[in-house]
Amino acid sequence: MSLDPLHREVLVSLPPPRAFRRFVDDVGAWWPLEAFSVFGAGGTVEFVEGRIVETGPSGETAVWGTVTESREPQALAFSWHPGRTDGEASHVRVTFTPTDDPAVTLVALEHGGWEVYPDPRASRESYGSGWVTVLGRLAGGESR
Amino acid sequence: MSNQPVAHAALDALGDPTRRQIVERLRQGPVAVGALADDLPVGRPAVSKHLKVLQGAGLVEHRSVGTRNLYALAPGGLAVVHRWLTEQWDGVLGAFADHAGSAAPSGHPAHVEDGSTS
Repeated sequence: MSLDPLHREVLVSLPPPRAFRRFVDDVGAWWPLEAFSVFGAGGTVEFVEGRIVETGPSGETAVWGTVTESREPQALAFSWHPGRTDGEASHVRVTFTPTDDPAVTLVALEHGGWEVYPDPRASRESYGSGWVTVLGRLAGGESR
Repeated sequence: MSNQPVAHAALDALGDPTRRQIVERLRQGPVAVGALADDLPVGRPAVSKHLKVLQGAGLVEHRSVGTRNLYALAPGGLAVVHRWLTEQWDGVLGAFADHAGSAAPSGHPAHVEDGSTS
């Protein structure tokens, strides 16, 4: 029995094109590496030629995933396997939807493919709170 | 202090357990009234009323996304409460400093043992 995809949303105080660019171009600035990464704090993460690559404090690298869809500024999808091989990837899709305030974007994240994890239910639960923290950082709000 | 009336309104709003639950739920992301009511032991009209109070206190904001009506934590809303708490703590520390200053015997600085020989 497969688990439903996980959904998390956040309002970001940027218009959709800028919210999209912030997600991609500034990922190294907003992603909470100290809490969610392969090598811990002190490194960086960036989108490099369609892949999401973390570089650790001593220069070691880890590929977190590969972009599978980039429809700027509406949607971005990528395989997702931090700390695992690309054969063990789940998948993430992020959409950027305008709201009634032109300066605010609803960023919605869907994370599916849980069956690749050894304990799918536990991983889904862990990401359930993890994405809240990560998206809170994207929004740059008080949830940091 | 101009921050105070705003902070008081927010603190008043947070004085209700259901409204605290709503704020805690919104911490996970924006939601519609219906979904919020499903998670809480009160009905939809009550949730709407609580949301109105939280909105009035600057803690919650309303956003339309297509046909969806979402409620979310207002940016900076809880920062007002945080600032108020910090101000009170500054006051406490100030009072403690005053007290410590007046309690210290003048002309007799406290003698501190040098533990290096023992």
